[in-house]
Amino acid sequence: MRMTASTNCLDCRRRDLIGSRGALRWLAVGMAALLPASAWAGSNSRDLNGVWSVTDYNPAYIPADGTPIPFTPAGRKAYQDALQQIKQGSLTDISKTRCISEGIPRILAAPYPIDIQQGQDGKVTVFIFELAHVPQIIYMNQTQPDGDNLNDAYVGNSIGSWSGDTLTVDTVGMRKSWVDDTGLPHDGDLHVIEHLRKINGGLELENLITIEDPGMFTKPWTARRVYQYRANVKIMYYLCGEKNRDISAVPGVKGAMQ
Amino acid sequence: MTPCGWAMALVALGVCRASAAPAPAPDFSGVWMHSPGTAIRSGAAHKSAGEAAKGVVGGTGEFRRALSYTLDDRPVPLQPWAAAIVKQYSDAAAANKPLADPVTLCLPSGTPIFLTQPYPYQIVQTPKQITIISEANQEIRFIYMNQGHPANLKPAPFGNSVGHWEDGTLVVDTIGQTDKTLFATVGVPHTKALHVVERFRLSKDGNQLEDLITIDDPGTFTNSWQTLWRLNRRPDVRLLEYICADGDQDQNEMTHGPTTRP
Repeated sequence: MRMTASTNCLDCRRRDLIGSRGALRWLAVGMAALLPASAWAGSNSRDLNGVWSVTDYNPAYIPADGTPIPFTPAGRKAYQDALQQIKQGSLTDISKTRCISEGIPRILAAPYPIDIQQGQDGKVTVFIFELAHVPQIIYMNQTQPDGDNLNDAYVGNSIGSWSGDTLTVDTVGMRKSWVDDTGLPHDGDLHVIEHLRKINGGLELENLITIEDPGMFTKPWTARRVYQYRANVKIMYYLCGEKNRDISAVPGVKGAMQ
Repeated sequence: MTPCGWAMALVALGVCRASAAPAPAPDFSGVWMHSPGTAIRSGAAHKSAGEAAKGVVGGTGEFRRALSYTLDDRPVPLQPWAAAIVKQYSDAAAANKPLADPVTLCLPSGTPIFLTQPYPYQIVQTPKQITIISEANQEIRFIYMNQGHPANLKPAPFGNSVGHWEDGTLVVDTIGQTDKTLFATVGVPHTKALHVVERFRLSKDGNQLEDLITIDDPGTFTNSWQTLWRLNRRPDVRLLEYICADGDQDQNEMTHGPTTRP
């Protein structure tokens, strides 16, 4: 008897909720309970919070459209010289030998997790790279400081903004370092524009990385990386030269090590 | 009243309780920095400006003593083996042959010494995670909200930090640190059992962040003790890249007062 009455009452309550904004909220709560957390977080195209890592590791950036890198003559020579010097041992990768941070765009391809945190005050979004615990602080909806006030940094100076479901990150002022793990050099005018967008129902994050450097390349070109959402991964402490996360299972890593 | 009526009353009560929910958590987002004289206080009396208390930490040299005095301005209560290590450090310093500490060697600092550097900190807050980025050596602490410590915790330099809100205070519990970091750069060691509880809260005007720290490590200290630090909000400061091996940045701001930075 009481059961029946309660049920009736809950029916009343449900009727109250349906036809008001409450109905949508209950529906949302119900769906959230049914779906895995990762899929649910994925439903908000502008919520990138959490840990991501590359689906595949490839040491080289190449244009995603299959065209060759549009080197200037000086750029081609600089890259050929770098490759030759690496082979001879006269040029070393200071990120590996001296634990100097990899910069933008190189670190975006690293086979280690990235924790993306979008500050609730809306002022910064940070990419925390487990590799060498490098933070890329992206100032949201700001303009770049003028040239004199740019920080001289391997990660450069980053500003970001949203347009639709795409986060655009613009980075300038990078210290001289390698553009990718093969030793591709850049000169002082490197400009990197990232377009980040959730794909595959929010379980993956696409990063279209546009690289502009008039001294090296005749025109901007765009490499692509895809990160997978890692619901159960937390950033580990990374200590240069010590045994860190085992990344041998990341596709592409074993081949690159050989 | 019919059972349905009672149920309705309960629903109504639920609504009332929901409307009396605790105030939203304060927002610690932004850049924070110690400043000379007002930076780190361990002295309970909070000595007046200019009066030197051992626990009031301002200049670089004093920063390095930040965790060697308690809130009531006494030396930290060391067990004999720990006191012997501190003596090694102080004897070496007196002989002008200071022993290197992990921070000087660009190695991880640890919790809570992490928060004693004369460099800015960026706090990035979300409901699920509070991330503190220290400019110094690009150290980063992750505070995972509303969860317990994982089982089978593997010791790590900063340990595992979990947090929750208590009436506007962020309570952070940290365990699981290695014993390889020094507790204070004057040589204070600790064991893997170090347990740190931090209580962060904002000043009324929102411009100061206070961290009341309770330290418990029976293997190192004869009793648990407390220290208190304050950081100032610095909307004018952006973190710089800090490459430890490069000797990137000077500490002018801390030793000679604020300077303008981009």
